[in-house]
Amino acid sequence: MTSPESNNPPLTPPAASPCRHLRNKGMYVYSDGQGREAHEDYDNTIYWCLKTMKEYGPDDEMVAGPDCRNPERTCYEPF
Amino acid sequence: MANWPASPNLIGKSIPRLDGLLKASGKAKYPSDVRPEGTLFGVMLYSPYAHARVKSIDLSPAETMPGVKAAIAIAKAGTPLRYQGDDIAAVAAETEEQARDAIRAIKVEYEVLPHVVTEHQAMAEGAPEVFKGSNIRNNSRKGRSQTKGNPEEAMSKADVTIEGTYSLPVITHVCLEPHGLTAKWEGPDKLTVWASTQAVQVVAGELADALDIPVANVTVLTDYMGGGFGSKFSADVWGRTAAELAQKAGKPVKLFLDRAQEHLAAGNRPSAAGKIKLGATRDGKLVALIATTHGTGGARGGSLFPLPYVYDVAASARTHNEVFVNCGGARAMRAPGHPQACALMEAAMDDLADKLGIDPLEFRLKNLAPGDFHTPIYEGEVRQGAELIGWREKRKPRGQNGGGPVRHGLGMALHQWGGGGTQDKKVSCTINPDGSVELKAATQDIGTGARTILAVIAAEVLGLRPTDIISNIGNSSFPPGQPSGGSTTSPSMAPPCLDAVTRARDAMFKKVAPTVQAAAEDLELRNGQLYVEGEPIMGWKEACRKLGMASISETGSAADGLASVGVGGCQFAEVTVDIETGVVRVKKIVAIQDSGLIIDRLTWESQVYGGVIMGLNYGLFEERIMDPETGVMLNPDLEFYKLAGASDIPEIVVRAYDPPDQKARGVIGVGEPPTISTAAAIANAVTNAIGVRVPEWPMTPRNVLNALATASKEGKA
Repeated sequence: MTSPESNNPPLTPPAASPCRHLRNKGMYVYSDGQGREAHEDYDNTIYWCLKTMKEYGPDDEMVAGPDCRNPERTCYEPF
Repeated sequence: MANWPASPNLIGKSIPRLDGLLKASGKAKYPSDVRPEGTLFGVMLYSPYAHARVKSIDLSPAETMPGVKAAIAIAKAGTPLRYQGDDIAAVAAETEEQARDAIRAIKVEYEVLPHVVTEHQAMAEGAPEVFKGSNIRNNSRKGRSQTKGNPEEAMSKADVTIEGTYSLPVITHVCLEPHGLTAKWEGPDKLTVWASTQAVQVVAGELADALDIPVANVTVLTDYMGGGFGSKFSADVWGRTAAELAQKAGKPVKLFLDRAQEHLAAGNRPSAAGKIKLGATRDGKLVALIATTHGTGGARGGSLFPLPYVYDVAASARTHNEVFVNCGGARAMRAPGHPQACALMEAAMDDLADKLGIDPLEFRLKNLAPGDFHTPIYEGEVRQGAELIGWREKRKPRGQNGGGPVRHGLGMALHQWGGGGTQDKKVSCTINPDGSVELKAATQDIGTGARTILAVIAAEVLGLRPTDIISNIGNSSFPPGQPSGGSTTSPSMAPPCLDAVTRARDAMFKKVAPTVQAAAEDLELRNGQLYVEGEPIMGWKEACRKLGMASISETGSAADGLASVGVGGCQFAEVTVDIETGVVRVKKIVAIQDSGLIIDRLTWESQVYGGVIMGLNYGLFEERIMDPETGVMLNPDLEFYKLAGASDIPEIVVRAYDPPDQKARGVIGVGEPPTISTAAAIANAVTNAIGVRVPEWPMTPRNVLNALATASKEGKA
């Protein structure tokens, strides 16, 4: 049960909160806020948009953790 | 605070599931069986192209067809379609046939666009783009990489190294009950839904949001459901569409996907491929791992997986590329990322053990993390598994398994998982004056036995039989319950159930004690009797009548110490391989699994059997096959998308590793871990049998014969 240390910078700076329509399974399963969906050494979270219920948003761009923190996206709504 | 009983009567025993007879007899009604009066059939129109743009869409030919009551366009002119199976429109009609005829009548003009449906196509220079983005190049985006120590330097000092390239394909979700729901409006802003879902409250919340109605006015019901495996969390486009069609038609609408749509749009496990370099000292201690991996989750991410996996590697470096293709998107599938990680790591481990000339079992034990709490557990599990498969007696070194066409081999693999619960869920327990006991929680039984487990706990505390308990789940309006994912249901729901029933029992004692001239602390319940100071004085129902007219109802919460997280296990496979035909037959699988305190050993074992069979399918058969030319899936059915039949299932030996110190850890989930290492163990057994690494899963005749042919060309076989 080894866990290499991550030395990554975040993919994008955490400039904004996630869009309020961003969803992933961990938000529902680990709902007591202990954040266990976020692994130290890898991230395989699968996201969807609540507005489209798809892997792309109302602006036809990708739905993902870093991508849906971007206030410049036309569909972005802060949490 | 309630604690698990030290000497339980029921907990840990093998108890048949409460709904077993109903399921076996067909009396259990699944969401796809439900047809309220006047129900219409909904059918989706989906993209026939891997990549296209809708130029125009005209629903009117469908709207005027016989029996059609509503039609909805999901896409509009200009909408991009990113994969075969992407949603375009939907129709509700009086019969399924009328709905399918109407779907065919919808006029859609497409601008067909260039596609990429394989990773090879996607990563080529100048390939058509699935998404644009500054951090996307050749349809690839770097996933999180990791470095530990100085792997290059460590590798250069390794006595022995191997470098292997291994790959696993995308496999699709194949739930027996397809995705979908039946929607019935009870009023302008009140909706009842029968959904095949792993999360009744999630579906209620998402539908409320999509339809702009209060979540309190949405009731999602899931009495039974035919499998989800991670793919049935969201309300989904088809769920929202069913509700919209029902609203428009003024009648209930049942909309479930067909099998082709299931393969195309209802989720899949991402592929995984990688070049792995592994180095060790001459006496078999790992010193370095350097890996470059990639995988695709379709038009979304999610292909990353942990690496190194299980074993202690002093120095490691790993980079990963998420590859985007014009195919349906990934969804969580039973232990997301772990089967891929296990397969790649365990293949490399076996290859290095072979080069070192060390028994792969000893090599694995030597490389467990020193001081890790799970290391002695793995050691115990591996010893037990080795004995059950006959490792010492039957295993021969790689390639030394006879000279005839049918070769015999043994392989093994280790796995890990979390399986912890949440602390914010509730269960209510009501004891009625007529003696009935009802549990309520907005969780659901996705086939794991969740309903039975809650009843076992209640029966244990109240001295009753599990069949005496009404275990009422699968209703979003009940107290907050756990979505069934991440192997979290039992550890999330068992503690609040214990708390609720204990509170209800204590409240009952308080009320009954004066009527039997005893102190509440002198009362006890067992064998369906009420005891005072150790003497039975009346039966359960008589005792409940002492409650008078009012029921007792208590709601329980989680507490520390009743559940835990972190499990492991190992699996061994015994196979024969015909080197002339490439056909692999799995003869036996041994699965050893720890998961803390087991509530119901029968449903626990069922989970492990199911996990092993799912892993066997991953190891031997499953593969989504895309046509690079046309961009369509070539096997979106159950004829050419291969799954094991009864005759493919070997002897499966399941053992729980649960000595007293494991039971003391409390409840941990077991839904996912037993599927992780099966495909890895099978591949290692195949390699042991034929003396050649088969680097591509599944272990089909094609892949086996290709590996033998490649080795033959290189003079290795």
